[in-house]
Amino acid sequence: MTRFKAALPAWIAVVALFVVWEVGVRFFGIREFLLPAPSAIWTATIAVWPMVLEHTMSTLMTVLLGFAASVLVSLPLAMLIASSRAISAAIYPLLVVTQSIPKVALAPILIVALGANELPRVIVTFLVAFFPLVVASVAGLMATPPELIELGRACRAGRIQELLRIRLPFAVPFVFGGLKVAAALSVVGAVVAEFVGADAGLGYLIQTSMAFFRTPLAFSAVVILAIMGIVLFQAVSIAERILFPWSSGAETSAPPTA
Amino acid sequence: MMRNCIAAGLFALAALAAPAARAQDRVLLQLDWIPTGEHAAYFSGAARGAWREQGIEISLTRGYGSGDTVNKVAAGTAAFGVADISAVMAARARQNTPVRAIMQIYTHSPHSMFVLRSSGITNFQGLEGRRIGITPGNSHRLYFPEVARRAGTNPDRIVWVNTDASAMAALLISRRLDAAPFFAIHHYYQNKAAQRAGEEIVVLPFVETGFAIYATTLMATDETIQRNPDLVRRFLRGATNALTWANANQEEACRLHVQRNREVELDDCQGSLRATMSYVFTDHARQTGLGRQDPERLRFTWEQVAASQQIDPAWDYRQAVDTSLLP
Repeated sequence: MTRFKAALPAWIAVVALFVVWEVGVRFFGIREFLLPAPSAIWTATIAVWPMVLEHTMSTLMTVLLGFAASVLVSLPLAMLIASSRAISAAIYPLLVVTQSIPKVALAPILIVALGANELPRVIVTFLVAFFPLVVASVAGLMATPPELIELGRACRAGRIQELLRIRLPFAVPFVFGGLKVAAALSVVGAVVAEFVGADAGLGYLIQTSMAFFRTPLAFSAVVILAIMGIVLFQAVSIAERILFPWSSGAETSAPPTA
Repeated sequence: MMRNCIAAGLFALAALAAPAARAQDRVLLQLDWIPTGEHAAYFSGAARGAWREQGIEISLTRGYGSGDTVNKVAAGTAAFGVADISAVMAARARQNTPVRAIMQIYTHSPHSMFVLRSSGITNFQGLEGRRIGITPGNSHRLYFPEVARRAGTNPDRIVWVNTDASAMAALLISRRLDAAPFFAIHHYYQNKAAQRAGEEIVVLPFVETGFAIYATTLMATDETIQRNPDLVRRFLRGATNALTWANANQEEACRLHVQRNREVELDDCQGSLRATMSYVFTDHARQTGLGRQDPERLRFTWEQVAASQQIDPAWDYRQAVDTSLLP
């Protein structure tokens, strides 16, 4: 019940947004090809829902694979960076380079190199999503209070033990902060990839719908992408609550006791 | 190399596992844009087995403009491509990209200006002093001076407005532009959108001024043509069959097309396909033979491409074409 109460403002805000949108479009007589009303988007989506569902599944697949890849690469990479100054100095500039390259420019090259299949799309999604996760995880691993490290060393903890027992638990809230950002960015990355190389997916649906003047359908894809982002973000939050209830990032963390 | 080895190994395994199936060449055909009714002949042909009976297992993928398709075919991502002859010629003349047009599909280009009936513009002279939308690098802009010259219009008295391609039609329908450049093939569904807004779109085709240049072709790399002429021959036989059948059975072709591409509505497909076939099965094509070219029109095409893209007109354009493998 308390959970429901806590979520109430969010629901009210979302519903209010759609109501204002609908009323605004009708009141100002905005034409459908510029901005369709939510009711028109709903009607257009229901009329062809099997197709929309197919495109949604295709994008969700890319998003989840890219997100999984970013998690699998980022966490070991962060541990590597946090473990030594030399490695960190070597890797960080490269990471910044990957972030500075516009992914839209990179995607066509990947497609020519790897063929027009799922792989380039997953790589682009991964490239967009992984950077904040690495940065957050490194910050977390470095945030361990030095006196705890001292204590660990006094108790003859090895490097591995120090990482697993002391540094990682301290990094958990940071890592989940990074995961939330990465989840939202995965959706962006997947759509960027689909704009450049795909025969299916919500990004593809946006392009074809715009070309055929089915603007409501294009907006339908946009709304679904937004929902997908919210759901993934919440899924990460819930995972944090269940796995690490003590994490400071979890909303229901116990108040600090004296 | 490694990937090819693995692929070959897997293929060998598959071949052993399925001795019943006849060996088929797997071929990827990359289109020039998203699959609209313009491409219904290819999709219906693939569905009917026009290439399968030639021993080719074909798959089709969308394109991102002719230039991109030329690059991907040159890179070996796809074996064959649907691309405008101007992109094939320019790529070869500029960077020596080893690609050639192997079959002429459109005997003249669908370049047009779209205007609203309510604007009162009925011909190219009426465009003087008006605002025309354009996207950067758009070939309509490059060819316009020649079209204007033929129509007796002063091209310097046009106000060009740079804009984004996806906003162009909306700008025209909402009267923020007086004219917008489009391929006439897309008139049907753009007009549908205009009618919903209480307007009607009128087409001013470039070809009406006598500006007749070759446009869409099927193309491949030199390597494919030299190493595997038999594959090219069979591919073109399949393409000829696909085009001829789709022309005679447009409704059925579109039905097969929208089964594969559910983003396309059936009536939009038929509107596009009807328009498309008026560029393929023309009097000109009946004279030259389907897919073949007339040397005079090919020369004029090259002159226009060279002039509009600042390429040396003395370059031998015939090396960008090889229609000798047509059935």
